[in-house]
Amino acid sequence: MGRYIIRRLLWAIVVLIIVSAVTFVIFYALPSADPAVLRAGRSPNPALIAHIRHTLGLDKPIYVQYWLYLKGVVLHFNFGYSYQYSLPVRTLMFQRLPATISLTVGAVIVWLLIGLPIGVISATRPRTWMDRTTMGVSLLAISAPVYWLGLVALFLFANDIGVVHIFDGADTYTGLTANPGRWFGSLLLPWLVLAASFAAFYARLLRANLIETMSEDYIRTARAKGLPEWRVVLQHGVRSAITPIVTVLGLDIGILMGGAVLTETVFDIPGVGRLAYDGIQNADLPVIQGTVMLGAFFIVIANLVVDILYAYLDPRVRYT
Amino acid sequence: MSPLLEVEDLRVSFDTEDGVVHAVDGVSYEVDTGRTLGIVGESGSGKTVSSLTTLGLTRSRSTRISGRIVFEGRDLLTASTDELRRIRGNEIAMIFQDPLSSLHPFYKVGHQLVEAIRIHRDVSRSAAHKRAIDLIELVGIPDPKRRVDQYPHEFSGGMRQRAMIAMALANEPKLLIADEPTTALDVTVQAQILALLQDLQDRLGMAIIIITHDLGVVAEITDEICVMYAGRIVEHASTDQIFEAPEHPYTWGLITSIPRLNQQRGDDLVPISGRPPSLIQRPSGCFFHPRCPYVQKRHRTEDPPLAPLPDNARHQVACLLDANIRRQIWNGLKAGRNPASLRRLAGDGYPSRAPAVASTALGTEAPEMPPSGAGAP
Amino acid sequence: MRLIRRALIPLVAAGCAIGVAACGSSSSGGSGSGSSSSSNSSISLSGLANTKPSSSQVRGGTLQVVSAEGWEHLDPGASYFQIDYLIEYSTQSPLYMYTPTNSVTPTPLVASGAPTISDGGKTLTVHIKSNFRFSPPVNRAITSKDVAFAFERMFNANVQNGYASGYFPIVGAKLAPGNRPISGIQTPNKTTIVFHLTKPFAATMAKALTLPGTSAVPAGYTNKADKSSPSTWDSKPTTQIFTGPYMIKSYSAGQQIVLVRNPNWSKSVDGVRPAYADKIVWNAGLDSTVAARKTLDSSNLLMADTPPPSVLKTAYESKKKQLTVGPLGIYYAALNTTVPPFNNINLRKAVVAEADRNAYLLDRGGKLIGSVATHFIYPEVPGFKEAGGAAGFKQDFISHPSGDKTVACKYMKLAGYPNCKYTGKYGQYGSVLIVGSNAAPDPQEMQTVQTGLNALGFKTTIKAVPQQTMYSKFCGYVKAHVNVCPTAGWIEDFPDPYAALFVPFSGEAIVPINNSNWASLDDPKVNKAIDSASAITNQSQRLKAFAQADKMIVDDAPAIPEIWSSNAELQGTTVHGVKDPWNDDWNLAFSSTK
Repeated sequence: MGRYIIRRLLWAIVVLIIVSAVTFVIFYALPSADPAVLRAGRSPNPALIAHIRHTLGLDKPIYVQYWLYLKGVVLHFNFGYSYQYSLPVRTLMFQRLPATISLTVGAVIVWLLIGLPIGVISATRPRTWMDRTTMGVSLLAISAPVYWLGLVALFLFANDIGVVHIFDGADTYTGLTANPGRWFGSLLLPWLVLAASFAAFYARLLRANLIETMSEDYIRTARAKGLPEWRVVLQHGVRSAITPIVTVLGLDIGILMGGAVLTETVFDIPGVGRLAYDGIQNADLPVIQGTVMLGAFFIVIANLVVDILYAYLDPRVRYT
Repeated sequence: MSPLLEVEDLRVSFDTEDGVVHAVDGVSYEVDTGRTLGIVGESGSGKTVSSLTTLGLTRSRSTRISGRIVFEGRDLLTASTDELRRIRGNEIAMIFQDPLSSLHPFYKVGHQLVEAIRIHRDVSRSAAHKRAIDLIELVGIPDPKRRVDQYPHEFSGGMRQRAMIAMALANEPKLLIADEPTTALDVTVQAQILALLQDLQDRLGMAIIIITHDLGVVAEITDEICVMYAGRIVEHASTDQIFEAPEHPYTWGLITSIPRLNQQRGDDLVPISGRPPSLIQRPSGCFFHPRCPYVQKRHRTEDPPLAPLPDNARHQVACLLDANIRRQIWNGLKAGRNPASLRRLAGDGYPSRAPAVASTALGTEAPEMPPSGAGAP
Repeated sequence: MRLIRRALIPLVAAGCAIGVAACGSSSSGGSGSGSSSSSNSSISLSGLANTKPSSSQVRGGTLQVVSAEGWEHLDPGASYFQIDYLIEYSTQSPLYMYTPTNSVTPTPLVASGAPTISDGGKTLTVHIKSNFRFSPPVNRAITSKDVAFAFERMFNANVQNGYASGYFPIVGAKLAPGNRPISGIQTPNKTTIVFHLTKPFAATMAKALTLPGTSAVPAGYTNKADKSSPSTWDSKPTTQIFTGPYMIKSYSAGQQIVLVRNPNWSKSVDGVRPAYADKIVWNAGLDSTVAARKTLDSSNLLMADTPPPSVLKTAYESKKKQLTVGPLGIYYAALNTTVPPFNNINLRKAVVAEADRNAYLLDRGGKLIGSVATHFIYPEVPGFKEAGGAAGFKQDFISHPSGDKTVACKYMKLAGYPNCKYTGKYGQYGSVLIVGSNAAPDPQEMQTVQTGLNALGFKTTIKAVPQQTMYSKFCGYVKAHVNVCPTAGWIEDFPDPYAALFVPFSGEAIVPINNSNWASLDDPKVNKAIDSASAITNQSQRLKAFAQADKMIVDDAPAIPEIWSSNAELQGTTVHGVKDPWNDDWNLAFSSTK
């Protein structure tokens, strides 16, 4: 197992380098704007543009720029400076990371708490009205675009612009250490909105897996041993049905950690996703590069963690 | 002494989208302590369902069950789910056909044994763990201390079945139901498992019901045998009687289709033609008539009851043929003649095209019914 | 022009949201030439919020501001964006300032009086107040050297100021890295600065002394900070030294900025700004719709950028007192004067004559959004009246808002096409290339242009690209030689006709990259007229001269003047927002809670 992990980690580094290179190429091959020009304003002095280009290093050949960038990342963990804010990208990313982590972790907990029990209940009562209702609602939740759902949620429940004043509105996010109460309150609605479609998806997934699992022979054996039905369902049924869900969960977490752009935008949560979005708007290559690599990093790590976890969940799986 | 388990006129049917499946249609048998009953039949004969029903594992909204299953004086069919759970894995234990899929792949074998124990006994985990090791040793698995912490997929097929048996025996059941315990195993391992079962029975004094389609298996270890067909018992007798003097054409077919080592190489196997009938639309009259080589016209309309032989009350058969004729036919079969040549002993029957094709796993057409009225009675 | 990246664009669809006919589906194309559907007359601009200062405003409290956009440059030496100005004019003090009640003549702020112009307009002398102080820890009063230093910074390439060389043609001032003394700036004593200019530009420069870059900076204080590019005064604005009523207490890029009172600022010394609020908290980066709804439903919010059409509609229909609309800039369709076919002035006049300018107005949203333009100085810029006001100069090709086929035909004939249809050559694209952005309502605008051109027999191609690409790779990129850029727009940097006309229409303003003279108009007569007018000190003469320049520009027909457009802002119910009419955005030093 140890060698397997090391191999995977090495691959992860290769992947990250490739990702950074591709991002670089895309940015330069299909540029929508010249960042030097954006910074300089309208109708600027050409000398000013040249100066800005020089200070941003844009006048060097592409491969030199990339090489310098890569060196900076690998040797000094330096991701460059944002064209927009002139702050180090690393600083920006780490500033934004807690918000994204808060959003992701909370949403994960919420959707597991909602989705898994619904999945189990639906699977053990298939084709009843309860099952059909929950599966129908979950189909709606999966289909609703997150951005729309967020706006609707705000317009219904936010305590500043909503119809019913329940939750804190957008733009109320404060850090956990600054004010735990407010932190929690400001994230409730975003958690619910972000979790909605995931909860639905997980409910459906667990339901399908569990229905299939419950028809396995070892379930019959468990019953024949005299186990009460709840233990058969949970310890024997769900235990098997949960493994593909763990895989999916890991990947979802990995993706969300790269920033839930839409949710962060609607609720004005200063997370990594928002940073990436702003970076794209402003043709801010260092920020784009940094956030893309951060996202890739999380996905790669998530993949690895999930694979390792799988070996612990399913003893039949062995890695060499 | 009253029998340990008494099944009386058990009927189990399932409502499905295609219709009502009459899985078990009036089945009665008994098992005594320390004795072994074999229930033999093809797939779809209802043999497994009757045993699952004993443990209450067929109960659902779409199942209709009637009759009585009396275990130590209690009617299990009217027992509550809680009562049944107390009995399952405890007083009555069941093992299944495919031990790889019947054991949970994600839990260690020891864990599953411990679970079986602690459900019914209030013992500590370590005590249960020790007992698990003992059980593994009991069923003849070598190196039990190491094996107890392994997963099912790390066991060989034979060992897995032994482990299942160990799990079933965890609480010293009075009755062990073994559903096709050797079907998934090689022949040599089969013999070992059967020997193990016999040995355990001797030591623990439990009753065993063995369900199988393989007469060769039951020959070894059963005391009596029920032959089931289409949800009914068609013959019920002691093992010796079944093999020496079987009375039902289906039983004859089962016996003669067993390959024997002393057969001539050039001899053909004599299979039973046709396929098991649908339990939704069962044949009219005698259920077996579409496949019976000795069928007569009235067999299409009359349903034979399960009745004892005139000279042996303990041997029951459900067949419309005359007993003497049956004896003649059996003697002929024993001598190696094939059923086609013995047919006229039963009568003129009605002209039916003799199925020349054996019933294989892929199945063949059932012999077609000739147009009514054709043929001389 | 100051960049308002998204401000004007959303508003233009607002009128459509309020139900102006002919808006909406771009597939139906513009109203086309000929059909003159009259502008929707049911939209009225009365009953809206009062955004003028009032003597009954309340002191104290916290102003809460929200916006979708964040800040670009908060270094006063570099600030150039509409939103940044809200912060700069509250935390810094330029030499002069336009106020919410006077957007014609600059009011002295750090200066103690009007500037003295001498030497035929080549010398500008400014006296400053002696007791205008810097914030802690510097504390001391501003001196002339600090003012000079501010100008040195503007010419420091690291500071990345985008307008210095255009508005401050000072002898010896060159854009280069480092804060270097400028020979043309003299500081004979602590309260006097003398600027020597390379041309008689003083009258115009006097107006440009209202830009934030002229805010004093403690001399030499930022030398270390200015070694980075951009300066850390830009990336870490909390490290600045402030001269305005407020200081930047905390700053989170793109997210939040908090202003608190500057203890060293004195209202009596300032003499201009009342600075009612004790604290200003501004949260940026919200979703535009959410921010607008919050503002509308709130009591105490100010929204610093333009609300989206849907919320604007709600505001207009039921919360008029929270809505304010004011004129802001101009839209026109630039015609490239350097390449065929529009290098022929008669063809250009024909196109202008043919154009249905009402259609443009409707494309962008009807009366709420502005009015049909007839020349290039727009309503809130001084000189508008002198240029004929709404009616303009009444040239024949510009007299009919919905287009005039007869006049168009006249000019086609003059151009050599007796059938009133173009049959001549094209440039490198083989047709008339029309480039605009792919965000509404630009596609409709392009359609309208295309319809008009096709009616005159021109072959046309439309190309829609992202807005930034349009600026940097097409319309703003001279070598691309785009024939028509229908979504050209302009807003003046300060309320003076020079700022409205020079960059978009003077040949001297053409730059190869990120050009803003999209027509590439280089008419020596126009260039000279603008140049001469820029030297005139006497206000009324100046305005008349610029009006003349405006007329010359219209006569050159470098563009179809489309609309003089307006901008909308929202505020909460209990806040009294005061607007700077020339910036058409809130002035935080004049606004107050109620």
